[in-house]
Amino acid sequence: MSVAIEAQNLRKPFNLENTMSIAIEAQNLCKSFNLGNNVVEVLKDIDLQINKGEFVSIMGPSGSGKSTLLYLIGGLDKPTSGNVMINGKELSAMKDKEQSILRRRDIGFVFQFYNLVPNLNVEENVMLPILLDGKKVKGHKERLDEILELVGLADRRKHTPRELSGGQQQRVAIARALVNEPEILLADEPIGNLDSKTGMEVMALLQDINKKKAKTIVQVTHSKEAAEYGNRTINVRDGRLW
Amino acid sequence: MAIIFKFALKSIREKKFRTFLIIFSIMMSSALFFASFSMSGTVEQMVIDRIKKSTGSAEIMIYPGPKSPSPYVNDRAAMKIKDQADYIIEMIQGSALYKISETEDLNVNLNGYEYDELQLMNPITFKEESNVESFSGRRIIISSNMAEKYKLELNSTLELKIAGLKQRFTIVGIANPTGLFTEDGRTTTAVIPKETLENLYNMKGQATTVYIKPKDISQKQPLMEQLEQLYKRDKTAEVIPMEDIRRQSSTFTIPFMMMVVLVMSISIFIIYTSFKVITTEMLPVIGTFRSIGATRKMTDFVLITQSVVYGIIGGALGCALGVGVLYVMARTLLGPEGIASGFEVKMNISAFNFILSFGVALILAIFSSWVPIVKVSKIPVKEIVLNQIEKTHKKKHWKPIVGLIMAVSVLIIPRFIPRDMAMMVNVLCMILSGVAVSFLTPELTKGFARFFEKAYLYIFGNEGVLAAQNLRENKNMLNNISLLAMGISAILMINTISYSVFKEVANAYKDMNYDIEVNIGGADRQVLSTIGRIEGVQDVYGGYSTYNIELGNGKDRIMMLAGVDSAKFNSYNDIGILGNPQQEIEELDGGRNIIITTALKYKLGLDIGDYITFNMKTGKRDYKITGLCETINYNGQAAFISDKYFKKDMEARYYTDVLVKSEGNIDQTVDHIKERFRDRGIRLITVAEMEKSNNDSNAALFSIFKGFSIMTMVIGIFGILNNFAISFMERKRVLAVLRSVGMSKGQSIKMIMIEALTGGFIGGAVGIIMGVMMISIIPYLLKTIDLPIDMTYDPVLLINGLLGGIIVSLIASISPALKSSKLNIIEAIKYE
Repeated sequence: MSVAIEAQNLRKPFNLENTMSIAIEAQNLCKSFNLGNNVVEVLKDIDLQINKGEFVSIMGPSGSGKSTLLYLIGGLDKPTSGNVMINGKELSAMKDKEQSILRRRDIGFVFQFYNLVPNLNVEENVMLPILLDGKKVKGHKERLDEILELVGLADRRKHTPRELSGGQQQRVAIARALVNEPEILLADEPIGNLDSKTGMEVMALLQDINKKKAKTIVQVTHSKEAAEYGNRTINVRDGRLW
Repeated sequence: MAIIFKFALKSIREKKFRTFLIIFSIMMSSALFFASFSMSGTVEQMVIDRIKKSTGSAEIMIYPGPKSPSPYVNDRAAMKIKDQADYIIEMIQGSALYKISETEDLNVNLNGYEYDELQLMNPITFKEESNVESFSGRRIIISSNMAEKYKLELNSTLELKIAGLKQRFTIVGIANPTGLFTEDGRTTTAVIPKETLENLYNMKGQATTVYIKPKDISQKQPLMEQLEQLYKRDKTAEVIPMEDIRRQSSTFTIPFMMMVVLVMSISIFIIYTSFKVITTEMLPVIGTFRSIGATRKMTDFVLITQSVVYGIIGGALGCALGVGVLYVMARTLLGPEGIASGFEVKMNISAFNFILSFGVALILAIFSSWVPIVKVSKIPVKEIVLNQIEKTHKKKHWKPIVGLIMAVSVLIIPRFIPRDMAMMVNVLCMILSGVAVSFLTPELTKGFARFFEKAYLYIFGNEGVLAAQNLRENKNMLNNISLLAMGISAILMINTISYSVFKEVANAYKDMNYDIEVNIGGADRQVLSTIGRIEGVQDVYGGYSTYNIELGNGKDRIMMLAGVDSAKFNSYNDIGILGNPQQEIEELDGGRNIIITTALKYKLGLDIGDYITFNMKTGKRDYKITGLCETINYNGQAAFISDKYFKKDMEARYYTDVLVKSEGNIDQTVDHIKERFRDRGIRLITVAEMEKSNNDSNAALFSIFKGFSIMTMVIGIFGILNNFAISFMERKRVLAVLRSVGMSKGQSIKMIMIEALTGGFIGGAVGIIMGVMMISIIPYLLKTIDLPIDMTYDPVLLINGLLGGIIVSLIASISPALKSSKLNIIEAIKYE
């Protein structure tokens, strides 16, 4: 396991040695929104490094900017200033297509409300990133079986989301996030919509994936219990890391 | 309460496109309903106007019938009821020729009236006149059109050829082109003193028609009965046969009303889907208000009020637009010739029509929005407030089964329905075919989607596969497919009917193996042989025909009965005789035998071997049906007997049908015949001219139907645009999810466009299926209004239907596709 580096102490230039083991790196990251005539600074000058294979939990009160940070890391949003590097590649320098490819191959997303496509069944939902990557579904049948086995949904593969429980839907979302073997898994309140028992099951699954598959996992959570499944916690308050 | 009300009105104002769409569809439905409903009255009014132009205020007329002892009548018997009448007026209908040039003559309708009587019955207004009150001797009143066209002046001499002899008249009046002097573009009218015309025709004290106006209009029927007794062998009839006119105009209204049903179906669909969105949007507000004490009735009332507001605005606009649509329809029917001839579009609109159309708009709005409103009303407050509304998606397995049963039924039932129920059942079948297809649409879409999922892998790659997958159970796409299907089926149906009619008409004229029809008085063997010798004439045929002949039951009539010359008839006409045509025609000479059309067989419920009785000049005569034919001439209401028996039973002396085959240039042959018979008031028309005139009159009617079908499609297109917008709003989240798992903007646009392309294709295909089902019922429906026309499918129309669906769908998807590329992924994903 790499040594966790205190985020606020990372005000030094990128170097090759660092980037070799760093999965995610943010430098001077700022994000502000216009709310009427007011400018609201959501993230203020964030510096952050997350090493490969880490399971990091970002915690903080509502409106602290933790989800915004996650979305900036995932390339779903653009920073007002600053940079984000994923596996050594700078996100802001990428065009939409390159960013999309990155999201397809290098990053997997898990959301609080599962966000499955309602008219597609489990298999089809899981295979979405494969399809979007222009690959043939037929050539990935084994991978699909493996991933469904991992999330415990092998017997639910033909079901549509509305035929599944919340926990099962979140497992489908995790399977979808993992199908393309990305190195990074970003989860926004992955158990925020689940009861505590199911939530802990999902967390155990994420922990398992982190340990067995050596995936870098970053989760945003309100739950201390959920954060304990990770090996490092970052606190965000008023747009800064603490 | 007032706040929710305010919210409802605000949402009407804010959601401009949706408000426009709902009001537009209600407005179009009510306008087309108004126009179609008022059409029969307007057509009746126009027919009445046409008749009144020549008969003025007269109500009853007496004229020689088939049993009359002479071709004339007089007013002597009628004088017995003089005290019950405002006037009893005799007139003579004659004809004359005015020589325009060495080669051309103008046909003049020559009316013989006493001037004072004419002014009483149908007053003339003059542009110029000179002592016209002393109207006697060789004096004439002509129309201002004739005067202007041929530079004829007041008090100048006009030479006319009457009964072959040149006669000179002094022009004492130039009448305005109204009333009796309204022209039809082909002939012109002139009036001379009745006594003068009596002398010229050698019919002293006689007339061709006696016109009567009762003092008390409510006593018209008893008066007619008295006159029938007084003129037992002549015909007493209403000048304006209201019953006939009403029957004809109501037949005319049916196809329009069917189009209105289609337009209304689309409107109901649009209002229903729009209200589903409205109620969903208003749900949180309704929940809040219900939680603080508003009753279910109160919130329902607000939603109903919203639909009533739409109904009131749409209904009011629809009534106003309806007047315009009716005017355009009436004007189209009148045609450019009618307008040029001075006939006016007179719309017969009553307050009842306005009230009814307005009511239809209101009912349409309330009825279509009722189900979504009731559904929302039933949701418990707790579920609304806590946002726990269960979206149940019960699969209705019965729907495709019922749809399939309905589809098979509507294809079979029209074939076996007796005539007296046919109209109602066939209209019902047409509506059911729409319902059947809408029940089958989800399954059809699923089938198509499955096919495209495989095919698109090779055509469009994985985005194509995703697009095909997205079509499954996508309610908005299903709505689009249904709207497209309805619009396309309407256009397809109207165009196929129009195409079939023009094709059948073309075929009918192709079956006429001659070039010219000659209309000449007193055509006997001598005339026939003279025509036969004219340069350019290859052969000539003489036959007999009578129109609108009454059957023995005194109720039914058939449009044409022909007496044919068995030796030549088949070489001049191909009337589609079933079996051996020559043998069947020759069999007519063997006795009182008759060939009837299959349409008549259906209408009268008769078959070969049965007898058909006619009221002929010599009395009731029975004819045995020995053959059947399939001609659509005279709308298929025709029958053929031997000329031998026609002459005998109808006391016919002269040929009515003189048909000429031309050797070479038809126009030259026409000129040669005209030249030879100049003195006899001959009229000729070529088959090509007849076909053109027939097509022109059909074109006017079909242009209105096409207008209706295009309107149907326009409403459908607006509905589709709205659906795409709603669909985009509802799918924002899914699109954002796809973007989050790696879909690029380009892929997103590509997927939406492929979805639209596929949806358009399926909509087009379902539209074709729906159209073909409805078209298959049309021949049975047309049969009930005595139009035996088989439908011919034009492959180009079918392909256009498919392409139309695709184009509409693609255009409607441009905006959502572009919006999808600018989508804020986080906003769309984050909020449930």
